[in-house]
Amino acid sequence: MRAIFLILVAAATLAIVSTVFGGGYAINIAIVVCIYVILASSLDIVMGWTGLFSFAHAAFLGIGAYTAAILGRDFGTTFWLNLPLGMIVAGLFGFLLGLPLLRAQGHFLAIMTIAFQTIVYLVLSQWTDFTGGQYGIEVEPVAGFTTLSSYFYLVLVIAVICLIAIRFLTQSRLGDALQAIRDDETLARTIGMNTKAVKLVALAISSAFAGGAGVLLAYHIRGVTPDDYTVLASASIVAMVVLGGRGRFWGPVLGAVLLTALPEMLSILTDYKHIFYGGVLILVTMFAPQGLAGKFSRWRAR
Amino acid sequence: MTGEQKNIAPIIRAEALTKNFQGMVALNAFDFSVNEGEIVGLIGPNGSGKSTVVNLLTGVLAPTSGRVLIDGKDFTGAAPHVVARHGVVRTFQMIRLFPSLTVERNIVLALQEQSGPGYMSSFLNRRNAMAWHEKAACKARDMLALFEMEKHAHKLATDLSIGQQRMVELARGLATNPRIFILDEPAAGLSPINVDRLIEMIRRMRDEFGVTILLVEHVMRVVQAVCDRVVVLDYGQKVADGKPDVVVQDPKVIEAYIGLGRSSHA
Ligand SMILES: Nc1ncnc2c1ncn2[C@@H]1O[C@H](COP(=O)(O)OP(=O)(O)OP(=O)(O)O)[C@@H](O)[C@H]1O
Ligand SMILES: [Mg+2]
Repeated sequence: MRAIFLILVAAATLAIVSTVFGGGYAINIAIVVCIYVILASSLDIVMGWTGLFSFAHAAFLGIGAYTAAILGRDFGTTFWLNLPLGMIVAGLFGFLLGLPLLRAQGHFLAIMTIAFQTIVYLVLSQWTDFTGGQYGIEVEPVAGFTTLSSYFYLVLVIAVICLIAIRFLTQSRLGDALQAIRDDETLARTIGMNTKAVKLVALAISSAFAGGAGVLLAYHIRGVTPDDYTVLASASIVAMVVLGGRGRFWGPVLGAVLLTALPEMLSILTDYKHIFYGGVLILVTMFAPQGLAGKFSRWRAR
Repeated sequence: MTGEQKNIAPIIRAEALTKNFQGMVALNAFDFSVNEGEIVGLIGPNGSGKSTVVNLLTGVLAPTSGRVLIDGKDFTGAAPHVVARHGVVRTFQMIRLFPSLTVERNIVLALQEQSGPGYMSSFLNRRNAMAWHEKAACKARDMLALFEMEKHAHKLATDLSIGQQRMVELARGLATNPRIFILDEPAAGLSPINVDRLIEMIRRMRDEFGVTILLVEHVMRVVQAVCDRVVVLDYGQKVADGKPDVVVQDPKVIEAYIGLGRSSHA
């Protein structure tokens, strides 16, 4: 309950800071921050809570975004239908990826996620008839939320709902099961857990949230192009989770806020964003493997 | 000592069970069974294949050949969670608890996975799931009380001593009402006082809870105190199967297991 209160406080703060102190530019950043908070927190379901490293999260982001764009183009469906459909399609792909993925272990599993990410990118960029190739697809703004600030509030509310859902999930019995798999999968199996099924569910849920974030992103930048959904984008989401702290609710939130906002605010960083992410990743794994949230929780036990 | 006449239906049975590791035969054509209500000891020198038997019976390893039968049904190569849900529950030679979960949650999770409502149905029927969960937490606390561990319920499992962690492992297994509880060297690393408690608890598990037990053990004092029957392994081969005091006299066993006589007074 305290966490939910804090989520609301943080969201209100973000709303006030970006509308009062900044114009369109700040609101733009705030929208991207919200989207990346959803992405990092949902990646943490598999990466932090379940212990499966995935470099495919941007693929699910892209699947959600393209689902919305293609449905809008071909069937004229609205945001309110495209959002759940984007989540479902991404979740389904997460489940399908999981079927072969969970036969693999450790590093090999991470490599398979990179392969999947690459395949998705290739399909998005090469299947020109369906995806628009490198030019992508245009997306009409959400009716009723056409101004930047109104769309920001919409994204903020959805991000808050996603965070509360993820909080409930990780504090639930399913959350215990995920941690058990991360801690000791053999033990989890011998106490009667069908760990494959639980991992598939975790992957599907995590991917569905990423798909939702993709829909939000597509409507924000009013279009989709394949270059937003590369393995580099996946790696930056991983960097957010690692910097913030894996398997802790506030970790990925913190990581997403810092790594999204910092490069925007320090303009020199913008051009070297991925180098910056890489550097952060290396430094954090060397000096704070538990991430920033891990450092904080040393001082005050949870 | 009541088990042997009362009931003769084997709960678990191994038929010509064999396991090779890269050409090395860890277990060779092993035949054996445990009957309802028995406490059976499985002993043998280091590396003789005892833990391999446990891993094969619980589905952690798949056999190279041979069969595993539970209540007469074939479970050869079944996944560990399937075996566990049929009441074949175990502990590990190196204690295994989930370090991220509290002691109580370790036990509740085991209950949930064995017999709790599925995640989907508890999502759809929250009230039902919460009632079930409340009961499971009560059960977990009762079990912890039985093992005099109730004051540690909300600690992380890894903050406990080895002896305490052993008790939590036993409580976790017993909580799920196993048909057969397989203990892999539960006395390892325990102080003599804790070994006494272990002996008492193994007896109570059988006498008060009706649990059938397969006990893998090096500490002969424990084996002789609780076992109705002892099976001896040497180099993956069964060399004896009988009453503890008879098996101890068996020349083949003495040869395989030098120090058996001496360590029985350890
Ligand atoms: N996963 C494995 N891979 C390769 N060899 C193994 C594996 N598990 C066990 N072994 C080998 O199989 C043989 C039997 O091992 P096992 O662990 O069953 O012995 P044990 O009787 O339990 O011994 P201990 O008293 O030391 O626990 C040993 O030689 C061991 O090295
Ligand atoms: Mg062993």
